[in-house]
Amino acid sequence: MNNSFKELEKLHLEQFEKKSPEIKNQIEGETSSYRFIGDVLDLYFNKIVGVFVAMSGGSINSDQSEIESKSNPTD
Amino acid sequence: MLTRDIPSTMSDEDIIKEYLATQNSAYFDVLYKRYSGKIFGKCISLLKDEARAADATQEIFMKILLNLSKFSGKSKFSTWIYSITYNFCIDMIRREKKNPSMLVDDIETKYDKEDDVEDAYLLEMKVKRLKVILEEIPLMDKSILLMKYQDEMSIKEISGITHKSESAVKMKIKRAKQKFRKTYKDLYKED
Repeated sequence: MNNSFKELEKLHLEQFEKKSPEIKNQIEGETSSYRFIGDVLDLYFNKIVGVFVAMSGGSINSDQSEIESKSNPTD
Repeated sequence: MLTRDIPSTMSDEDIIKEYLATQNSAYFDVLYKRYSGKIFGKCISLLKDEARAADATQEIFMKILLNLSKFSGKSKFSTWIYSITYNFCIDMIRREKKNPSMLVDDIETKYDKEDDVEDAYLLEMKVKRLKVILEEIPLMDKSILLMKYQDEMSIKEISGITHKSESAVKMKIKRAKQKFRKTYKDLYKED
């Protein structure tokens, strides 16, 4: 038995051939932008958090030294 | 790794695993080759416009890539991506509300009394006519006929995509076929 729906799909596939490379390039471009943003966040996330902590008056390093001094009392 | 090094017999699931593990674009190429044309075909059938179908294909593919890690493998990969495609296009048309009457998920019962339409009636139709009729019938009927006859999905799979019970899906297919026949008769009275 024929399947006209499948034949219609074939026609659409032929129609897509011309558009395909352009769409693929756009997807690849968008994917690499997402990847770049992800890499930047990976690299600088800790530093960004540090900046916000510093801006709000805290200090990551002083907290760390406080913890260390409490765990190693000299007196 | 190059696209040509990936065996054509490699399953979609294995390609996804490798793509997620390595982010190698060769695996993306294979998925794109296998499915982009089919996604575009569905988009053009539902949206009726080549430029919009191209934009939708791009957005759907991005959605698929960004959600690839959420694919659990409970259904076939093709069913999963077609589900995203149908829902994306239906949402797009709903947002635009260009033609609300085309969206009616009808509760009419007038079709119930009519005879069942044989599958052969639809499957052996000339493609040109099929295209015209699909443009005329309501969106939900068109979607369900494409799922059944183009994607060859089972009732269970269609039920999963449409969030309707299996018996409701059977009824919707029956009515969609009846509407298809009525539209054909209205358009091609002379035959």
